[in-house]
Amino acid sequence: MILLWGVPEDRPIRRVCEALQANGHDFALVDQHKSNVIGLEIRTGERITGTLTLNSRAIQLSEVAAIYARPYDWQQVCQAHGIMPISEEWRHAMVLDAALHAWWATTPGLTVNPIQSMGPNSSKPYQLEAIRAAGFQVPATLVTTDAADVENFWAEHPSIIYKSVSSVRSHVAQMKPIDRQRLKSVEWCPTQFQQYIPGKDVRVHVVVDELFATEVDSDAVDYRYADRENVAEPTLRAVGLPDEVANRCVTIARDMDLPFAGVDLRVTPAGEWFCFEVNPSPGFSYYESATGQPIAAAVARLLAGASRPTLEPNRTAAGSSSLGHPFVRADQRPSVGPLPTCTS
Amino acid sequence: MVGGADLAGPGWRLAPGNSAHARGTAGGNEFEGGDVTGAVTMLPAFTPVDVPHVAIEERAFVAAEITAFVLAWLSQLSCRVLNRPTPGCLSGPAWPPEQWVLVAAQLRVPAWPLHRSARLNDAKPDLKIHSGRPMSVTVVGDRCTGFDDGVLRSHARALAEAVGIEFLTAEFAPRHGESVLMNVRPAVNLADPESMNAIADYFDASVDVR
Repeated sequence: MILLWGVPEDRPIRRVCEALQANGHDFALVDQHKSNVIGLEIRTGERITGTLTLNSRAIQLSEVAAIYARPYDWQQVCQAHGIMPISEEWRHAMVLDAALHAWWATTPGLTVNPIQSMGPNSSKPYQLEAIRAAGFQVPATLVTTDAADVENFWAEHPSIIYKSVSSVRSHVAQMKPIDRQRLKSVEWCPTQFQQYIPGKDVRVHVVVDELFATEVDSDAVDYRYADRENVAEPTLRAVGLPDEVANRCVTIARDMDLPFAGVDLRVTPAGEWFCFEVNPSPGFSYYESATGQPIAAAVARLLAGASRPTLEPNRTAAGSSSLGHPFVRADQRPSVGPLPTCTS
Repeated sequence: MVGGADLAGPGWRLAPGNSAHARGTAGGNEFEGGDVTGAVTMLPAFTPVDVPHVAIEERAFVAAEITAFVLAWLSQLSCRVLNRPTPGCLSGPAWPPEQWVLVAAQLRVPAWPLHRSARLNDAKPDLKIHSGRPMSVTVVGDRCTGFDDGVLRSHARALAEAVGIEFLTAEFAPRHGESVLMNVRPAVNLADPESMNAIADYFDASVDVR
């Protein structure tokens, strides 16, 4: 039994559902819209046991071999359904979410991804150290609440960008001279500044040792928000990766205990590879739609056990020669409202 | 003492990969990261109430940002940090109670079985726990304070060692004639003079080693 946890309109969830269905795998969706008809009992002693109830279907937790988790903020889902904070439905959604998170943290089954492995992505400078330790080049970085520090950093690096420190409002923007007028506002909140790295973005989806690399051609500083920057939509194409880069992607995902990861790279005109971030819950459907890379099928195989992670040392990137990116980040989630009232 | 008012204010700096450039402020006094000889974290994360001087519509965002910043800032310190932060909790592991019970079982530490129930219109509380006064043991490094029982102190120390942290409070309660683990928190009671002395001794020892 495979469980998926999230909302059905989330495209990655939908695609993995479709891939599992196409191969006849037994799976169920823990649909956050239907929390009213979901129940969970967990008993913990020497081991964890219990029952998950979806409508009238009862699933023993011991039967669940794998979980693909992309849960939304339960409060956001409740608000979309018009559920009031003082209601029993609200309390139930809160208790259910906590119970599912507890199970996510403790289940002996495969979790894509382990909840403990999702956290580093919530702090960019924290994760950057892990990326550096994995052998990737990273941009020169400064996090500060001091305008003078920013000026000094800007003097060292003629072109710099800024972004949030956490995963909230994670939109990259380039510093322009006019931004000096509001530079003092960094005093109110630590802000991350980085050396701008010219080149092409490459998102590499790693599914254990299968790689799917997508080159992104865009004039935008942050291609995810090309429309806000008034530049043309990005052009995406599947590409191969140099073996060394491919191996490093597999290694970093393994070291971060992420069976499925989205590695954000940029290759400079001189051929240098930089890594910006490793996404533990990649919204892969955008890349899959544009390139036809069978990413959902690879995730489905992983969940179904056909490609179980062994996490052995010295693994090579077997997929790199073929073709070659709590909780889903808020800025990568589709809108969940308004939604129909949950009646079932 | 560093709080939200300090962190959402001027004077903080972190240059990943260059710990010598770290800087902070406390009560308006700046200090270099290299001058810090020890840190104790008493908050799991910052929340909007920790930054009341920030515009109300920005408080949640600023709280998330300083939490992410402090995680990275504390992680680059080479001195003793009680506890080393983790991405889910600035003061140690962000574990649900079930995870502590499973670790206790592996260590043969008797623990109160947990029953968590999430059902609509279920009047029962989601976590069924003992409501009596617990026997509380605090571990600070290799020292224990609190309830003076050799077995319980040994259990608490075993939990800290198994998880690789130096700072926790374990609470025990009587069940079927034995004392069983009820709860674990990666924190101590700052109002307890014995625990505060243990923390002071822990940092004094690190200075002696240097």
